[in-house]
Amino acid sequence: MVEEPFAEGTTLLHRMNAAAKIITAIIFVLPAATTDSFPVAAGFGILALVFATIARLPVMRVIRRLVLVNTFTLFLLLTLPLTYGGEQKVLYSLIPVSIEGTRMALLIGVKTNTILIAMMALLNTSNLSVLGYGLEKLGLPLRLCYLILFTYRYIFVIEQEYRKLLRAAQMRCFTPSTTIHTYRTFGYLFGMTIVKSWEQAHRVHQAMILRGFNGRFIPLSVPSIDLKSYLLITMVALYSLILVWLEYCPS
Amino acid sequence: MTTSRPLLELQDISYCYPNQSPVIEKCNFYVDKGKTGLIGANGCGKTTLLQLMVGLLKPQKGTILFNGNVIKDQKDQRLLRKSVGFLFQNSNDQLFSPTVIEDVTFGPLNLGHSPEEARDLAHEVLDNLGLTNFEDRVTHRLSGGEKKLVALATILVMKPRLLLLDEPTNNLDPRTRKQLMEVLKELDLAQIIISHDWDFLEETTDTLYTIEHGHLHRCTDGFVHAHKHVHVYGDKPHHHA
Repeated sequence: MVEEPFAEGTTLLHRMNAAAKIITAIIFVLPAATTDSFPVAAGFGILALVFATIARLPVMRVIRRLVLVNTFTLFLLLTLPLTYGGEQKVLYSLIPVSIEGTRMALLIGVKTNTILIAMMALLNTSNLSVLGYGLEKLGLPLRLCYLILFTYRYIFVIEQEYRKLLRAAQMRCFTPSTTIHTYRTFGYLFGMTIVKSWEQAHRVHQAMILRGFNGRFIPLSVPSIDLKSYLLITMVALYSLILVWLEYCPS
Repeated sequence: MTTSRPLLELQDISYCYPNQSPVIEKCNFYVDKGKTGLIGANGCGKTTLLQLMVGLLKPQKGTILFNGNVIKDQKDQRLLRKSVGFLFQNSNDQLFSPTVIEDVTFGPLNLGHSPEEARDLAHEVLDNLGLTNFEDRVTHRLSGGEKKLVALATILVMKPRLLLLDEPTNNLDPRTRKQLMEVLKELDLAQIIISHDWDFLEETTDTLYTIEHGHLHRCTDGFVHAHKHVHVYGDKPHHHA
């Protein structure tokens, strides 16, 4: 079951218009991801922590997610210093370590965590369905919005279908191993899941047509972008501008 | 002239799936008022017949008349579908919006109602079905019985004149089954119900049809009782209270 543990809440960020949050996220991510300076990355890191505090994200859950991603950055930290080249320092008179590579790996680590925390506070505080409508408001093609909304609605059903099939296989003593029989069985399971999903999509479409669908969703309520949203966007934009200015125009 | 014709009429309808023998052959049938049950073996064409009625499938032969007018193009079909509601076998196929209120208002919004009107209509129907306070529930987290009732709400909110139900009692617990039975009995609109549930059909319908070898037969009343019983009077002619 896919859960949205951060989406429930009543804080300022939870109540914010989804389109405004998406714009804020873009303004935040672009400079944060492209920066090459530690102080600037740290500046964005502080803003991310401010967001997380405002949204009152549950600390343990955030840490659990960060651990998951940081296994990847740890991998970079282990490999980049040894492979990056450039100026090197020999550790324990044995291992040559690239200074540039170490710096790069650390910077990637800081930026990854910064962006992740900010996204959890900005985007995960809305349901995916609300974000879908937000994207539509921002002019994303309708088809793409529907793709997101329907994926959100049916990913659960598809997962259930897959689990049902897998259980049926397990009931007949199927234990996965590295044999051709296992690969074939998983191939059948995936194939069957796709066939079932396709059939279901067909039936859903029929149901929609029967209720008068003619290619366009009419949203029930369109939350407006209010003064608070503009304020948030402006503040984050200014903050980002200052940080970018600091990076490129050092006095 | 149009007023004297039945609501929905099938004339000499034939249908066959690609590379298979015909499922429906020269079928004549009409519905106007009242409640009709449809029973028959798996794969005998019950669901196909309902899909033909609402234009989800196109018959190879024959004509379908709605209010006495032949259904020819998309426009006719849209008119027909406005007045004919179809409850699918699997509610998951019918509930695709994230929340109940969005799903129930989907139809009215498509029919051109304003969001406020749609909301009012939805509340009325949800209240009638005993689903008050359900509007913000997430559709995929509802129980099977709740899903079935919400799916029914999404159709009733469009104020159809004919309701087609495809095995409505499948996978329902006895309590929800009974609730659905009460709801259907109360509804004052024509219904066609497909079911394998004899007792349910006997409770909710006036006439019973069966499909055999592509042909539609009306069952005699005695035929309704040709089933096995686990209770004491199962072997004697009786009525279910």
